[in-house]
This record gives sequence, structure tokens and C-alpha cells, in this order.
Amino acid sequence: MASVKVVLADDHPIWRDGVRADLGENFWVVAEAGTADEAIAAIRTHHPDLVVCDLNMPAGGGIKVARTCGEETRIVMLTVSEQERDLLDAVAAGAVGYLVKSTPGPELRDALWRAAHGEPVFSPTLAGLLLGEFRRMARSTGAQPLSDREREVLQFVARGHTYKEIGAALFIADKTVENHVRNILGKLHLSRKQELIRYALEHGID
Amino acid sequence: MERSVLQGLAAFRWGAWLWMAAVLVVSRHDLERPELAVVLALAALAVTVVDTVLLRTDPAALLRPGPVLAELVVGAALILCDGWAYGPNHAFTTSQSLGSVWPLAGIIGGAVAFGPLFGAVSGVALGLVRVASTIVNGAAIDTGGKVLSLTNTVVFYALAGAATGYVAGLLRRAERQISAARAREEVARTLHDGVLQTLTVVERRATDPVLARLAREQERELREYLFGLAGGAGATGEGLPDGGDRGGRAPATVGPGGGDLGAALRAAAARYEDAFGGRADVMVAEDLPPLGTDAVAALAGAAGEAVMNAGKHGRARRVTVYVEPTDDGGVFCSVKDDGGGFDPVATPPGQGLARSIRGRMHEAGGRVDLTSRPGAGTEVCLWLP
Repeated sequence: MASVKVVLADDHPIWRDGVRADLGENFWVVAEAGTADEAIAAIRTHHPDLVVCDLNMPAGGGIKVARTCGEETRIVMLTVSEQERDLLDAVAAGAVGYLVKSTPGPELRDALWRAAHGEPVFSPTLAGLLLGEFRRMARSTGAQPLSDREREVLQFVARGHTYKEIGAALFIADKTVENHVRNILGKLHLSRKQELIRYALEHGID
Repeated sequence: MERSVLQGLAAFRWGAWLWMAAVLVVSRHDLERPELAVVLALAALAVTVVDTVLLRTDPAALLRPGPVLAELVVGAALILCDGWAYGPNHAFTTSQSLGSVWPLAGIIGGAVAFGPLFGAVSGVALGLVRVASTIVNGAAIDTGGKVLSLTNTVVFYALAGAATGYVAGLLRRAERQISAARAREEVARTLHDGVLQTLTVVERRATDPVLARLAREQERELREYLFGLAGGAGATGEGLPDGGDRGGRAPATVGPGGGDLGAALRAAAARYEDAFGGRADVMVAEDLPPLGTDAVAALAGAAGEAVMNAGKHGRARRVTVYVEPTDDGGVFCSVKDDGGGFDPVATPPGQGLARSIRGRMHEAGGRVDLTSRPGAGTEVCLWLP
């Protein structure tokens, strides 16, 4: 089995040790970083398949890493708490998902493996946060950003269903569910970008 | 901040003294006892210089009785001897006199050091000294206007002292609050970065399930505490410690929007985790429509029962509770588990499901939908209009 090249970024060495131990032999940790800038430098040097990045790091944190390198590699955010507002920003900035740090070892390994192969790592809580964000957008713009099917899929994820269960319930392939989720993420990126542009225009920033 | 108030006062003292010196030079021909005026001006200069030096070396000394009283005494002497230094009847002429402004510094300094009452009292005292000075000057207080003028001085001094003392008190309280808030933030950040992370690592890496559970409980409580400090948690999160069985501590935070419902569901999730050792995540949307207490009680009761059933009957390891507003202004709540599931057609509904879930929801005008298959977990969906 081909191994996945990983960059681990967290300002706590104890945590990096823990994750590395959990990853096992299918992952190859090519570099570790303690700050956002170190992580960006490591990504530029090693071109990893996957970046596991702490949301809260000195000097910019995970959001800076996602914003800078989100298009070059797959970034999964690690966070202590799902209560953090930054989570949505991190995903909007280009992370493919996030995991809470208390995720048990085997589950973490499995989720990171899937993320490295292009599957968005979506927890029910993140889906719930996203649904709220899209409802907010719909209220402020008067237009529904998601298609009915996308909303349905996202709601299933928020309720705790796996992609497989969603596929079975909607009579579609798992891969189709995955594509819907990817499109939803794309719409979040896009709407955030448009919001920024609108904000800049309204405030006369070139 | 106190330092900048004292700095302002020092600048005021110097300005007032220069004004006094200018008045002295301009009105030198009106002086009957110029040597007395010069001695007084030098005494005021001495106080001004000493206070300026103290500000640089030992600012706290400026708030002690010694320097404050010294300044007030010199100020009182200035006012009193005003009438002596100048010729008779100077008091009510329009020309300026020595001790008009500089003594105010003493009143203000006293008010900053000892509060509004002290400021007001010393203001009244110096005002009365002004009356005495007028009498010493030999000026007759024979018209209403003159009485009014003197009263005016007394009131002005007293108000200046009281107002300064009051504002200084406010500033001091605000500063205390700011530094307390900053200290709390510092503690929260340190705990968040260090202890919380470590607990999470322990929880994840412990091979002993009791240790892992202990770490999880501690992490949950610490997180609730930290988010309470930060002044309001987000609407999401897993498990609020049940206020009742933890030394009576009230639930630390209630997410905005989630309100009582969010707190009740997190409490139910914590009960499940404590009883069955699994994990329950609760996500309550922030933009729920306002719910009456009956609706909250029905939803929280029914969903709480479903969460406990997941552990009791389904032996679930993972439970997800999700609440969102529906398009038609109602509320949707789902409780899904990864437990054993059952065949809803073949299994007669138990007491829990029949009464605690369906009964509660029907009474509140809502409905219930149950999906379960052996080996595929159970999902209970609840709607309230």
C-alpha cells in the first residue's frame, strides 16, 4: 500500500508525537512544524499529500496555512473544541475538513486516510455549522445557495449519517454523496470570496 | 491610568504656578507686602517642584496624606494671605489675585487620593478661607452680589473636589475591571493551550478506559468553564455537566439561540456519557425560532429519552443530536446512534418510546418518526410546529 506523505503542524510537541504514533505505517511524516510559517515552508519543500494542522497556532494558525496552501494540498484541521468560530473560517479558507483532537486513534487514522484520498472529512457538527451559515446567506441575499439535494445531503451528515448510509437512503452512489459534499465546500469558498469582494466594493477598497 | 491623572495634575500645577507668577509681575504695583507675595509664590513653587519629583520617583507618595495636606496648607495660605499682600478692597476688584487657581491643584490632588467626600470638604474649607481672606483684606461684604460671589467660590471649589474624586473613583474601578478581565483571559488562554490539549491527549491515548473517561470528564468541565469565562459559548459542543450532580454548580454557559434547549440536551448527553461511556455530540442551530417552556420541556424530554435509549437498548458508542429550524417556522430534532438497532415492526414499542417520546411530542402538538434496522442503528426524528 502506498504511504501518504504528511506534514504535521501543531505548536505542542506532545500532540505531534501522539498523532505520529497513531498514524501507523501507512503514513509517512515528512516534516513537523510548530508555527503557521514553518508549516507553509514545509509544504512548499515537501509537497505532502496531506497536512494535519492545528487550528490554533502562534502567528496566524491553521487559517493562515489553509489560506496560503489550500489549493496545493489537502489540509485537515485539528481542533480542541468544536465551539470555535474559526472552524468555519478555516474550512472556508480551503481546509477539506476538520477533526476534534479527542477523536480516538483508529478513527483518526481512518479519517485522515480518506482525507488524503480526496474525501472531505465532515463531522456532523461541521455540517450543522455549515447549514446554519448557508441559512444565514439565504436570508441576507434572498437566494438559496444550495440545491435541494445538497441541502438534503448536508442535513443527513449533520444528523450523523455516514456517506454510505446517505447513499442508501437517497438511492445514489457513495461517490455521488461525496461529490455533493465537495460541491457544498466549493460553494462555501465561492460565497466567502464574493462576500469579501462585495465588502471591498461597498467600502471602497481596491 | 492613575499615573496619567497625576501627570495631568502636575502639568496643571505648573500652568497654575506660571499664571500666578505672571499675575504677580503684572499686579506688583497693587501689592502692599510684596515680600509676603514672593514668599508665598516660592512656597507654591517648592510644592510644585517636590510633587513633580515625586511623580518621577515615587508616584504613590502623592496619594499619601503628607504631600496632599502640605499642598492644601500652602494653597490655604495663598488664599488667606491674598488679602494681606494686596491693598485694601482688592478682593472685589476685577484684577486677578495670587491664590485664585493654584490652590485648586490641592483640592484635585486630595480628591484623587481620598475620594469625592474629601475633595468636597477640602473645597468647602478653602472656600471658607477665601471668605476669611476677604475679611482680612478689609473688604466689606455689604451687597448681595458680593455674598453671591463668595458663595460661588465655595461652591465651585467643593464641586471641583467632588467631581474629580468621583471621576477618579470611576476610572480606578474601570481599570480594576479591565485588569481582572485581562488576567482571566490570560488564564483561559494558558489553560486552553496547555491543560486542555494535554487532557485530550490523555483521553485519546489512555489504554485504561477509566482514565480516558476521567480525562474526558475533566476536559468537558474545563471547556465549559473556559467558555463561560470567555463570556458565552457557541451553540455547539458536547455535553454540559449536569448542574445537579456536580456540587450544585449551575450549567456554566448556554449557547446563544440554543437557549434552555441546548443546555438541556447537553445535560442529557453528559448523562449518557457518564452512564454508558460512549460519546454524544450535540449541535443546536443558533437561529432557532423562540420556543415556549412547554415546547422546550417536550423536546428536551423526548430527545433526552432517545439518547438514553441509545445506550440502554442499542448499546451505542456514538450518539448525534441535531436541532435546526424548519422552513415553515418549526423545529426539527434528530437523535441518531450507531447501536444495534431493532425491527420496529416486530418489536412492540416499550414504555420509554410510547410514553416518554411519542406522548410528550403529541401533547406538544408535534410528531415523531422512528427509523431503525437491526445492525444499522436507530434514528429518532422529532418535529414541533
